[in-house]
Amino acid sequence: MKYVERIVRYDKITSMSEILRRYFVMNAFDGALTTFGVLIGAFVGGIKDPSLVIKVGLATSVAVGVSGFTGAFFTESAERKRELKQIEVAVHRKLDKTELHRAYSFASFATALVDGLSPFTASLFILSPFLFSFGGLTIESLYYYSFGFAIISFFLLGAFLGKVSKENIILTGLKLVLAGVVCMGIIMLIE
Amino acid sequence: MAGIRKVVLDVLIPLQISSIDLAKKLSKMKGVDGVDINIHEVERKVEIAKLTIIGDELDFDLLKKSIEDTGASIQSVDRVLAGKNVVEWVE
Repeated sequence: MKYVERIVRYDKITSMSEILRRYFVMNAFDGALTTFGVLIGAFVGGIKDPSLVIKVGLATSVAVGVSGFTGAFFTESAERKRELKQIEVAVHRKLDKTELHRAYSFASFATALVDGLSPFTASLFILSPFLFSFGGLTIESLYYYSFGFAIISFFLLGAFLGKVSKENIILTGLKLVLAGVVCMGIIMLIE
Repeated sequence: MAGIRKVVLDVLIPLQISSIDLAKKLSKMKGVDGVDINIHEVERKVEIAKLTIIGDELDFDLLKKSIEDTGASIQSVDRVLAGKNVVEWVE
């Protein structure tokens, strides 16, 4: 409970839940669309070996996850350090070892964690038919299931945004699905 | 009653720190009977406030540590009341 209270206080100080929410959707969509693109490319390219799709897909998942984590960590840390320095000037003292400093450090780490885990998780969700089929389905079925999971994840992310902004969740869900379909269309054209 | 009974401090409180939470935190400390935070100016990054704490046997060092742990800073000690009797303010 004490730990939860501390996090609530940190959130009050840094308003990090707002940023986390935004980054969660943005990066999950990033990860989902990237993996979707890789799968479409593999499908159109005629890759029939599920293990190859898994290898490429997992490599993509890890890459977007690590990219999300490291990019966010360094960016957020730099921004928060800058803000802390400005506050230090205003209060005429160093803020090391204060709750303000601890809150900012925690916020940077939490943001990086969300930035890393959200695209990685979204990516794994889309790849799950390939990861968990154990040879029970044809390669075409695996692709179609994965595409279906991708569409579902786009819709859910859009619906979440709709809930946050108190709009029609079906409409906002469909907007992100449309983005995914456009992406698919462009890749098909290129191929 | 004895020891420090009242302190009035000039403090700078970063805008990110809620003065309500600060008051709550100080009011729960040992010996503290009451806390008054009077914000008399708000600047770009800080609030300039008069912080009054009353109680019995106030531990100033602990209060200072508690205030500064939040990120606020004590600019000056404007008034101190101590001892068993109330001392009347004389101009």
